[in-house]
Amino acid sequence: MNNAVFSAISTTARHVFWVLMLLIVLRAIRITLVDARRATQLRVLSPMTGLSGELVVMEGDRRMPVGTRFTVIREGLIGASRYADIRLRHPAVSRRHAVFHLTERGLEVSMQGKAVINTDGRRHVHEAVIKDGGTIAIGPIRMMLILTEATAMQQLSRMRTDEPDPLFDVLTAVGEDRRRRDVFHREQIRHEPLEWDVPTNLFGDDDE
Amino acid sequence: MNRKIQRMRQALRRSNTRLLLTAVMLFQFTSMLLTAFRGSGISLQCVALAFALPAVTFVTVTGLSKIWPIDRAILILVLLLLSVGIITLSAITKSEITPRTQAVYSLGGLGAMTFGIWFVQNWRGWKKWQWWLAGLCVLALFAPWVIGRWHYGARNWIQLGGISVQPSEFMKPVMIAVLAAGFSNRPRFLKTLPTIAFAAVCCGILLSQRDLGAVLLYFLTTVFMFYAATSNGALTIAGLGMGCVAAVLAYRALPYVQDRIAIWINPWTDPQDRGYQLVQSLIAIGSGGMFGMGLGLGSPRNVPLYHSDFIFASVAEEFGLIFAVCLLAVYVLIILRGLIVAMNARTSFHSLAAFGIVVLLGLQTMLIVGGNTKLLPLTGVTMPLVSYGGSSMVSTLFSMGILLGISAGNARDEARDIDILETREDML
Repeated sequence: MNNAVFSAISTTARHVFWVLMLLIVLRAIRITLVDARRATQLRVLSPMTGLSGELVVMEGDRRMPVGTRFTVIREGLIGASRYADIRLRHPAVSRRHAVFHLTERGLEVSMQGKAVINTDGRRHVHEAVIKDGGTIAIGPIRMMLILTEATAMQQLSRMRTDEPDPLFDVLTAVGEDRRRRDVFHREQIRHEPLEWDVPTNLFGDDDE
Repeated sequence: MNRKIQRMRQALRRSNTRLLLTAVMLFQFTSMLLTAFRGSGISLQCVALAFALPAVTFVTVTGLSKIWPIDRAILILVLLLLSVGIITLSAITKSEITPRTQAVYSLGGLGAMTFGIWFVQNWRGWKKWQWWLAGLCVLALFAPWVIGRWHYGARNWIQLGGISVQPSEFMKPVMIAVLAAGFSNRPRFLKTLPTIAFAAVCCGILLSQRDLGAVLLYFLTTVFMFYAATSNGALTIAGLGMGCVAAVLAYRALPYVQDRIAIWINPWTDPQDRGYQLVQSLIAIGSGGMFGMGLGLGSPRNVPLYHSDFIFASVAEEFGLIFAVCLLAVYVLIILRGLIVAMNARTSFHSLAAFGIVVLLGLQTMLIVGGNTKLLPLTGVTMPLVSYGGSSMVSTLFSMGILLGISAGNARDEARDIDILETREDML
């Protein structure tokens, strides 16, 4: 191609390129903002997203009343420090009492320093694995672990039998007068009236 | 409640990136086609690349998105940076070998990126592998002292067969993995000391090889990741302070550091010799103006290392300042989205790894652009994904693959959470 012709085309095309690049950047910024808005919406619709489960206080004291719940993320710190993911403010609890992370075996808890915990009646000084439904005691505070995935199947089996559910008892005693979103007691805070009020009828089609 | 689940699934979906992809492909096609007519005849290589670049972009984006739920916007922006590099090299280099080699490196890098996406989603035992990887990193960084050679004042290259390889580039993702494993799970300061010692050893080896850019990158990445992991401001500032002390000692002890600082302060004292590179870079950026001289119409070959360390000056000269600023905005967007990926990661290892990758990308970009524009002293690092260079290209794309893999893991975890919620709602 003739140099003069190429120069003319290239000089004109440079404007096309910077406009295209600007459009690409503006479009990418818009996509980022829309994605951020959607992520915020998702958090609002489901604050439980990203959480592995809960630790529910079964035995506590004035500072940690029965029914207090701590959300469990995939890994974090248990202690009295304000940076702890599960903050237990009690003299028996160290600032960095234990570190936990979720594995296929359950919640693996590693003690820090000279901290001690008890799980299901056994004393641990190094590490322990807590399965869904298991209990963990730090000082006078005893908590039950509820893992999100296991809960759905467990709740189903409990609804089909007459097996006593201590967690159910604790939550119904505490949650009645609170308008918190509770995945086990959604019927209490639903806006529309329910057609049934006894959980055992939920799957019972032999009454008809 | 079903409506709520539907709204959640809708909120989980990412934005439509078709328009972004189309714009990028249009840019690749038009600019590459124009470059084909630069010389006296038509460059068949450039014509082939004019069709190949958009095709590879399209296939990569659609293919990888179908296999994994990756962040498509990050992928498209990464491919844009790759293509800007290939297009600029086609326009500014005399020989066709350089852009062809860069295209081959890019294909290899895309393979590494795909492997990175798969790897991070399937690798579980990072804690077990931490010290093996640390050992590999130290050995690889030490290799230039055994089988390496001096290259532009630094001994940081090794020859493997007919290929020159820079170990410090390949070890960047390995270093990030070791740091992420060492700093994960909120360790106490004493537990982080072995990891900090590893980083110090790496920096020491690189300093002995006079690879100042890599030293700076490794050091600052360690500091940032330490702060992100522990939130300990006092220790972080102490670390930065020690770095400043080390920098002052290096300035006093090493003549080439004094040289670099002197040239940075005033390159016009010796514009024909020591300051020539920086002066020519500033002239090139100024010559481009706001809109550039036009693709193929500039004189970037006046700048030494115009295809690697000073490619930003070449881009600014050919495409203009607006384009160059938009290029920097692309880096910022990749970093922003990468930070969001890091915040949404479910484990501290993945979170720190994603954070480390984007911090490294940002620091490297800042160092090289700052060096080109006389904002910072020259450090001899490359512009990620744009500069000519196989080691940097492959390792940066592998790191991007890890970032995309973490984003895919995040999306999968969120979708699983919604499924679990839906199951519970159905039972209640």
